[in-house]
Formats: sequence, C-alpha cells, structure tokens
Amino acid sequence: MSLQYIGKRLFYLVVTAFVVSMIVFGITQILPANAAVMMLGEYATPDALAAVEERLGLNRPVAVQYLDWVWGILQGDMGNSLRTDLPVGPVVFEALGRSLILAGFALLSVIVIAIPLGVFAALNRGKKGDLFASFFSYVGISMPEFVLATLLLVVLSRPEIGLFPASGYVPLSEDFFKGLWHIALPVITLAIILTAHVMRMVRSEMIDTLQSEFVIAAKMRGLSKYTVLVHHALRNSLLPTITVLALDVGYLIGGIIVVEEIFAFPGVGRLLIVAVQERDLTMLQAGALVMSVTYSLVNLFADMAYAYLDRRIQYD
Amino acid sequence: MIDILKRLVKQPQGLIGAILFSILAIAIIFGPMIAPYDPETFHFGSRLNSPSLDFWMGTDQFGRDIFSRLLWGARSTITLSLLATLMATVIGCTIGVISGYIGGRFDEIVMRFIDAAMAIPNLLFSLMVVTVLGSNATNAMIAIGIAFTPGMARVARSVTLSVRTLDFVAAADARGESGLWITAREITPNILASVIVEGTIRVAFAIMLLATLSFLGLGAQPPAPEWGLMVSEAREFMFKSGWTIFWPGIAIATVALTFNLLGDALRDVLNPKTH
Amino acid sequence: MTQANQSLLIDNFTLSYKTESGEFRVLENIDLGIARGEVVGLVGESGSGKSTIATAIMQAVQGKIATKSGEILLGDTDLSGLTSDQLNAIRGNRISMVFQDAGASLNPTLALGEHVIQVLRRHHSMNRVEAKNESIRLIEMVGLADPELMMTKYPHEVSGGEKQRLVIAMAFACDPNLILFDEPTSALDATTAKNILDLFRELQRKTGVAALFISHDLGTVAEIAHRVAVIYAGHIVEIAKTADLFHQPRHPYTRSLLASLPNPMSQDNAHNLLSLAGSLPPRDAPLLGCVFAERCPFVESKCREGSIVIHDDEGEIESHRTACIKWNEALALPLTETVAVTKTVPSEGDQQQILEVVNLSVRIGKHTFIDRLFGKPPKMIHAVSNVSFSIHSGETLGLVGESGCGKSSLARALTALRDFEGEIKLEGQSFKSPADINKLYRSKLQIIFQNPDFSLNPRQKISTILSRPLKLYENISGADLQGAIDNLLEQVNLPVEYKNRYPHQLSGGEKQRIAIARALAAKPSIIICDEITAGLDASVQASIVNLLDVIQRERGIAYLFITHDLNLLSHIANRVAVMYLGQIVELRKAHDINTPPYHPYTEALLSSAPILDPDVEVRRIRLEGAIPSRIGDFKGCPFESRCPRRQGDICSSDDPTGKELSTEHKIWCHIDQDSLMRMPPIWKI
Repeated sequence: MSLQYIGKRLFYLVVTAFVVSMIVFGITQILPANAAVMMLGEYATPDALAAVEERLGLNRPVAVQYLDWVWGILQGDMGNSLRTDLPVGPVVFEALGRSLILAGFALLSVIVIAIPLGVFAALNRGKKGDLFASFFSYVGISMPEFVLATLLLVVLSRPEIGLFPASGYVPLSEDFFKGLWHIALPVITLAIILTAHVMRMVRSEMIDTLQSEFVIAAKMRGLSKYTVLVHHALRNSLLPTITVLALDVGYLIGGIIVVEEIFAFPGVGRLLIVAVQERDLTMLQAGALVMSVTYSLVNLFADMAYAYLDRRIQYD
Repeated sequence: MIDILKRLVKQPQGLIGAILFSILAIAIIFGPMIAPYDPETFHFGSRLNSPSLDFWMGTDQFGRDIFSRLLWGARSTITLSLLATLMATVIGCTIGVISGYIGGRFDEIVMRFIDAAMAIPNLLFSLMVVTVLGSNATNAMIAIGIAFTPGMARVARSVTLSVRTLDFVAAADARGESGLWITAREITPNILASVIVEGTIRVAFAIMLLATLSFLGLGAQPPAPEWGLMVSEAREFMFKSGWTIFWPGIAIATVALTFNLLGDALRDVLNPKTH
Repeated sequence: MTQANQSLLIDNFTLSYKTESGEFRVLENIDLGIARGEVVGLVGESGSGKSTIATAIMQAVQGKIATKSGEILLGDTDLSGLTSDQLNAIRGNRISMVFQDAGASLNPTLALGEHVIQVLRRHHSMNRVEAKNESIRLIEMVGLADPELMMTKYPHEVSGGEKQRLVIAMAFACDPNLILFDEPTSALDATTAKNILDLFRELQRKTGVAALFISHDLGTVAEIAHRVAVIYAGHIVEIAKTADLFHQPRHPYTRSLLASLPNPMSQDNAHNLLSLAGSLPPRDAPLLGCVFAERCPFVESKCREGSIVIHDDEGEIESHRTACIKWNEALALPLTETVAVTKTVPSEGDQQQILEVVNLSVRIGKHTFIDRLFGKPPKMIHAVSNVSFSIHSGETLGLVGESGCGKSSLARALTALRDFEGEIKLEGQSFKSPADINKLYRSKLQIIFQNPDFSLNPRQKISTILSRPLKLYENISGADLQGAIDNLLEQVNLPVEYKNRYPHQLSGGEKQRIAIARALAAKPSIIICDEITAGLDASVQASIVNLLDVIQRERGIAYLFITHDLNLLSHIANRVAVMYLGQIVELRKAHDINTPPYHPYTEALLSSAPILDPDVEVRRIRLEGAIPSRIGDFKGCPFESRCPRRQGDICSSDDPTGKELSTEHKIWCHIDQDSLMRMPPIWKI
C-alpha cells in the first residue's frame, strides 16, 4: 500500500472533517433565537443581550464566526459551554473516553458472536438453524434501542429480579467487576442490535460467496468442507464485512446516544442530549464534531485495512 | 405489476410482510373507527391496568386505553415516516442520478459533501436539525428526511454509475440525445428497482428514528398518541406496569419489521440474481 | 456394460429439472463413452445441454431435479451411487474439471501456488514442502515462466491465458483418469486460445489422460478431439471420428451446423452462410420422433414417430453413428438453396467514398486532481494511433484484431462517444473533433453494439426503442410513426407484433435484429458493426450476416464490420484491415486473405484461427507473451515485441512504412518487399 494512497485518504479525511464542521456549524446557526437569548433567557434586557453578544462575538458575520471557531479547534480550544462557561473540550473528550469503552465492549461481543452466527446461518440456509437466526436478526434490526433498553430494564432490573442496575456508573479502573455490572445492560442492548445487523450482512455475503464460481470450482477439486469454508468462502466474505462493520459504527453512535440517556451513562451521547435540552450550542457543536470525526476515522481505518487485505485494489 | 406481487408473496418474507402490511393499512385507514375509546380520555379509576376485557392492552398512567392510543398513533407514525422517506428518496435520487451521470469534478465535489453528511450519524443529524427547528412531529419528519437524503443519493449514484456503462446509454449518446432525456428516460427507469428496495428499508429506519426522537422529547409532544412518546412517558411507571412500555414498543418493532421484510422480499423479486 | 478400457461411460442418461412452468428435460437418453487416452469433443449450441453433461458427470447439478435415470460410470465406479465423501475423494483426483472463465474459478485472495498445493495435499499425503515442489513442477509443465515467482502471484496479477494454464495445472495435478473441459478457450483471444490448446494436446500425449472437451466451436474441437459428438436439444445426434464428421457429416443438423460456419477455405464462400429457420423444440415432455424434425429440411412423417436415438456401445468406438433414419438418402440432397453472392472490391474510381478517416488517434486517460496538484503529466493510453482508411458506398470493410487492439475505441471515436484527434470525413464533410459532430453526421453514421442485452434499454418497449431515431432524424411522429416502426420490423424479418414487447421477451438473435432496425431507422450511409455476432450461435450469426448482406445490396449501405473472428471476414467483407495495438498493420482484400504475403501479425492470427477441416496442415506461429500496454508515445512497429520475424533494432526505432504490394494490399512492416512475397501460405491442404 503506497504512501501516496495513505496520504490521499488522509487528505480526504481532513476535507471531510472540514465539511462536517461546516454542516455542524451551519445547522446550529439557523436558529430563530441566538445563543445570547438562550443563555440569558427570554426576559433579558436588550442591553444585557447586547453585552453578551459582544462578548461572544455573535454580531460578526457567520463566516468569520465559523473560521474563528475552526481556528480555535485547531489550537485545541473548542469554546466554552454556554451554561457553565467552562471549556467544553476536556469535558467532551473525557466523556468520549467512556463512550468508547461502551462501544468497545459492544463491538467485541459483536465480532465474537455475530460473525460465527452469520456463517452458521449461511451454511444452514433454509433449515431450522437459519430460520431461527434470521428471525432473531429481523427482530433485532426492527427494534429501536430505546425499546429494547426499556424492555430489558423492565424484565431484568425490576426490583423483584434486580439482575442489573438501572443506571449508575462506576469507572472500570476503580472497581472492575462493579463497573462491568453497571455497564452490562447498556452493552447488552447495543450488542443485541448490532449483532442482528452484522449477522445479516455476514449471512448475505456468505451466501453470495458460497454460490460464486471459485467456490464451486474448489468443491469440484474435492477439497474438504473445512478448506472450502475457511480458505475460500470465509476469506472472501470477511473483507466486505470489515466495511459493513465500519458503517455499523454509525448505528452504534446513534444507539449510544439513546442508551446513555436511558441508563444515565456519562458518555458523550448523554452529554449531547443534555446540551440539546439546555440549548448549549457550543457543547452541541463540539460533541457533534467529535462524534462525526471519530466515525470518519473508523471508516478510514476500515478502508485502509480493506485495501491492505484485498490486493486487487489499485492505489493511484 | 401484478406478477411482481405474485412473486412477492411466494417468498416467506414477502408473504409475512404483505400480511403485516395489510394489517397496518387497516389500522391506518380504519384505526380511529375501530378504536374503542378516545385516545385522550382519562379513566381515573383504571390507571396502569393490565390487559383486560375492558381495555385489551391495558391502560397507561392516566387511565388512557393503550389499544386506542396505538391505533390513533399509527396514522401519524407511519404517515410521517413514509413522507420523510419519500422526501429523501425524491431529492436524494435526483442528486444521485445527476451527479452519477455528469461525473467528473462535479460528481467528486458532490460526493465529498455526501460523504461528509454521512459522517454524521442519522440520529445526531436529526437531533441537531430538530434542535434548530423546534420540537414537534412535523419538524422531526423534516429532520429525518434531510438526514436520509445523502444515503439515498449515494445509492442512486452507485446504481447510476453501473447503468451508465451499459451500451444502451452509449447508443442514446451516439444518437445525440440530450442529457435530460438520458437521465430521465434511459437511466432512471433502470435504477428504480434498487431505489424502491432501498426506500422500503429506509421506511423502517424512519419509523425507528421518529419514535426515538419522540422518546427523547424532540418529536411529537404530549398528549399526542405517538408511540415513542408513549414509551417515554411510561418510563416512570415501568416497574409498576410493564404493559405501558411493551405494547408501543412491540408496535414500533412490528411496523419496522413489516417494511424490512417487504424490502428484502422486493430485493429478491426485483433483482433476480438469487435463486 | 463397462469395460476395463473405458474411462467414462454415460449409459442412457436422462435428466430433467423442475421449474415454475413444469418439467424441463435437459438431457435425454445420453449414451457416450470415452476410452482410455481418448479425447472426445462435445459440440452443441446454446440450450443443447452440453454444459449440463459436465455437471451431471461431477454429480454437481444445481437446481431442482425432477427425474434422473441412467448410469454414469467412471472406470467401473458408478458415480451416482457414491456418498458425498466418496465423491469428494474422486473429484480433483480421478476426475477434474476446467471451466470457461479461469478468472472466476480462482480464489482472488489465494496465491496461485496455494491453489495447487491445496489440491495436492488433499488427495495425496504430502507435506507442505513436497507439495510445494510438486506444484512448481506442475506450473513449469504448463508452460508458465518463472514457476517459483508464479507461485506467489495472485489471480488478478496474471493474464487470462496464464490463469487458464494454472487451472490446467491443477486439473493434471493428481494424475486423473478423465478431465472435463467446459468451453475452456471461449473467453480467450484466438492466439492465446491456440496456445492453450497446444498445451493440452502436448500434455494429453504425455500423460494419456482421457478428456471430454465441450465447446460450441466446431473448429476448436476439431483441433483436439479424436472423436466428436454433436448434441442438439438434449439429444446426441451424431458421433464419429473427427475426420469423418467433417468430411462426411451424416445428420442433417451436423450438416447445417457445418454449413453455417464461416469457412475461409471452402470453395463455397461465395454462397451465403446457412441459417436454420425455427427454434428449439419444447422440452417439457419426452419427445416423439426425432428431436430435429421441426427444422430438418428432409423431414417426413416417419421422422415424427417412435423413438429415434443412437447408441454408443463399447467395442464400436470406431463407428460413425447418427440419430437419423434417412441420413443416407438425405446425403444426396442439398441442404438448401444457396444464393450465390460475390464479394468484389469496388474499384477506386466508380464508388463514392462515404467515410475517410485521416490520422485518427484516441488517447484514454484521466488527469486526476492529485496529478494536477503535483504537476504530473496525465497517464494516457494510446488506444488508437494515427489510423487512416476509407470506406466506399456499398462496401464492407472488416476490422479485425484481438482484445486491446483499439478497434472498440476506434468505433466509439467515430460515433463521438470518445474524444479523438485527427480528421473524419463523412460524405465529403470534414469533422475534426467530437464537438464538430452534428445531427446530420449522426444520422449518416450509425452503430450497432455487441451485446443486445445491454444495447437495448430493458425498460423500454421495442416500439419506444425504434421510435427514437425516427423522431430524431426523420421527424416522424404521430400516426406515421407506427407505420414507420412496422416497416422497420419487416425489413429485419421480425413480426410486427414484436413492437409491443420488451427486449427480454426476445431471443438473442431477435434482439440484435432490433438493434439493426434501430440503426436503419436513421437511413444511414454507413453502419459500424462492433462485434455484433460475438456470443451468438452459429446459425443465428449466419442469419444476421445474411440479413446485413441483403440490406447492403438493397440500399448500398457501407459497413465497418469489427470482429475478432477472422474466418467470418471472408464471408462478409470486401476488404480487411488488421489492427494491432492501436495501429493498422495490414489492409487488403478479404476474399484471398489466406494468400500470402501477410503482415507477421496477420500470419499469426491466421494460424490461430480454428480450422474446420482436420486434414488441413496449418503452419503454426506461436506468439509468446502478452500485448504490451500502450502508455505514452511509441516509436517503431507496435508488434516488434512479439514478432517472430523481427528484423532487428530498426523495428523498435523506426515507424514502419506502408508497402503497396498490389492493388488494395498494403502492409506496414520493415521486412523488404521480396522477402514478403516469398512467405509461404498458412494452410496446406
């Protein structure tokens, strides 16, 4: 994989990040009321409003405000919260760290469960095992996170059963097992839905691959079922799975927002919801930007992993 | 057309999807007439009841009949989701086909924008739009429509690119047909199949997203019988009566399931590659 | 019914599928035997079931089977009685298979060497080192250069011919009794295909393996088979030794098949190619009588009664058998009335020049943004370099070359689908760039593409498809339009009702006729035919060629007929241009294309063309290597890197000049005139 290819992809990432920032900034600018009104409330005096606007630089042209914001970010300053007036950067990144743990566990369980499940379903296409798995996957992709989360809460966290706590956060570094116990339900919720998505994709890819000519040719050479499955079918199905997993991180981020809200998990998703409810624009912008750039980075890594593994891609 | 439907129901997914869809259609069209109670009427004596003969699905914290609320809510949920998806499909396809056909620098620039827009996860995107526009069901629909547009554009563009290389497009080019003719009459009819399949599945996502936004308080506002809102309102009482959460949740999942099944079945029917 | 010296015996094998519309009998009472060390060819057109025989032998038939009867014996093992494990032990080991598309049958993520090692270790108990060494030996055996390096390459890094060689290496790896070939050379260029056939012939002689060689191409089969079986609509209609089949075909189907194939050596190329009327019989029930009855020119009532099959019993391998009850009488009768057609070159003076191409070049490349950013020049491929030729009214100029020679790019440049440099003169008017090309030009110069599945919009009715050029060029609309559409359909011998159909409801040949009708709608002076008969059955190809001929004689339309099939040209073209790597290397009359002198590339092409007559000796020119890529400007002769007659450094440093060897015969080569004239002919009868 040439340096040129990596450079090109990084360049595109930067461009994408800029456009994302423009979109994020742009959306929050189409507001009927501006940030000053949000801070001070509807009954603020015009003078007080003007003072705040002056301080925040809200009377400058939009483009200037945007460039100012971007310039600040490049220097590490994402602005101050409209509510607490403290820098949002550190808050966002700390919350991001916690969300990443959630995401990490969810992704891990997906890889361990969803891929074998998808392969199994493809191999047993049409038979009971496949029907079972397919049923599960259909339900899994049709259920929004909040429905599943609340159902799980109702069933597992009710005082009578109390298998898992309904909320609360304990850092893993403090107490590993207690921490696990607390993040169990959020992770389970995310994992179930993500597994349903990924399993479907893997199954579909495998079915296609199993019907492709080189697999048939391999069978015609009398190769063992194991060889055909692993060295021929799986090898070729896993590549597209990487891409799919990367795209599914998008679902994951949406799911994280909801799940953190329901379980009161102090991640960046929850931060975002609070920012929305409190009209804290700066926090909202920062959170949205960070989440989107993280997603883009994940996709970049996936693309590069794909390109590295699939030798057919021409990099020029 | 008829024989597409016939082939659709031969598939198990198509059959179940079609059945569910018919039930949905009945609920939407006749819902308010079938509903035994008015969705906003409180029945103070029967709050948080389990399902019974009087209240088939039980009641919520205000004593409102859940079943009636579901039937009334079906209209807005499904209609808004369909509208959002339609909006995204029409706008997205236009962008995608034009960009895919023109190609070159224009296409590259458009793709950069689409990629960037897709870097923002759907929920996040609609969340931000709703924050800006104000929290109500219509704005939620608009937000979802905008959020889905880049995805549809990308699908439309991708199919356009593969159709564009086919000789009948070259033949039209060689005849000197205008770009408008080629995109509208030569290319578009050939991408419709993929677009319809993708669109149908998108409806499922729209339903889930709409419910999620309402759940977060960013969509329909009380006392609307919107399903996501019903779950959110019931959270406080979920340990006292799980039914208040269960029924709306199942309803959302069922409707989404319907469109997922239909979408998959349509994919197999309209693109005969899989036997 | 087996014998020790039989490799394969198919005994009264019948197979039918269950489909949505009922039963489909794909194979009927197949009797076929292959002796040890024998190569049997199986020839049939599309829908004949020939490929199904291969999958049936391997016990790998896909789809729902309705009925299956009869036996398939490999040696003395009944294949249908085996369990899946037993079958797997045999596949790749005692019997192996070579598919048509080598690229599709190789695992894109597995190195070539791994493919071979896997097969070896599966069937022989070898450790990795032993398997690796044996693989290297096998790779060398199939003529691949640098075997150690080849082991590490991936499928996409090697050419089609090299991939097929590797597949053959795997086929031979475990020393099988029988190899099944399913159209192994159909996807390859003529020169590459010839090399593969030579390779197989050599290996077959060395190892004495038996083989079943399935193909739609009689010429290919003639080169390689000891005996040939002809299959029609699921029935084998004739089996004979190769020479016997070609010199004395008995079954009317075989005879008409041979008559529809272009044969540059036959004295009859002054006649039309034979095209059979009718279509395949319905296959939903066992047939009464002869399968070919509906289309046979000699049919009589007794042909439709009883069961008419042939048998291929052991011990009578030498015999010539046919499933026709009156073949003897039929031999005396002619197949059909042939129409004498003479293809002469219109002399310079009296015919009007329709198209003149002067120094046309087509360069393909992308000037990417990144390149522009760094100031790098764009990487352009010179698809067509300084090509000049002219076509007169009523004349057909054949353009022949292999893949990568630029013929398609040339066609597209002429229709303004590609950017070009140079000059195009159409009926006297000059056009120097695609922007110049106007509606008048487009109406006079029409193009028909290769694959009608893709050149007709599947979502448009035939009437819509035909109405566009009528509206655009002839300004016909309203009531006149329907009449004009009907007229077009009649001109191409299609029923008027077809106009309400969609393309997928028509057969391949019918679709191509629609494409022709569409071209005719504009009332053109010249039509470019870009490989329009590639992929069509011989009989269908013949009917298309005949149609074009009729149209040309009635309207004086000129054709630029692009093809890779050299044999076809002697039937269809007045003159021929041979193209290699973007340049024309020879321009000559078509009817004596096999008479020397030739350009060295033409010589190689001629020697790779499949010859129907097994008695003809062909001087074999083997081309090594592959077509080089054409990036940037070249000096010298395009063919010099592979030319067997390379003269020396002059071939790479100087552009060859055109030598007029006689009227209408020009060769671009450095070889001096005298040496050229002394070239021996390719064929010796």
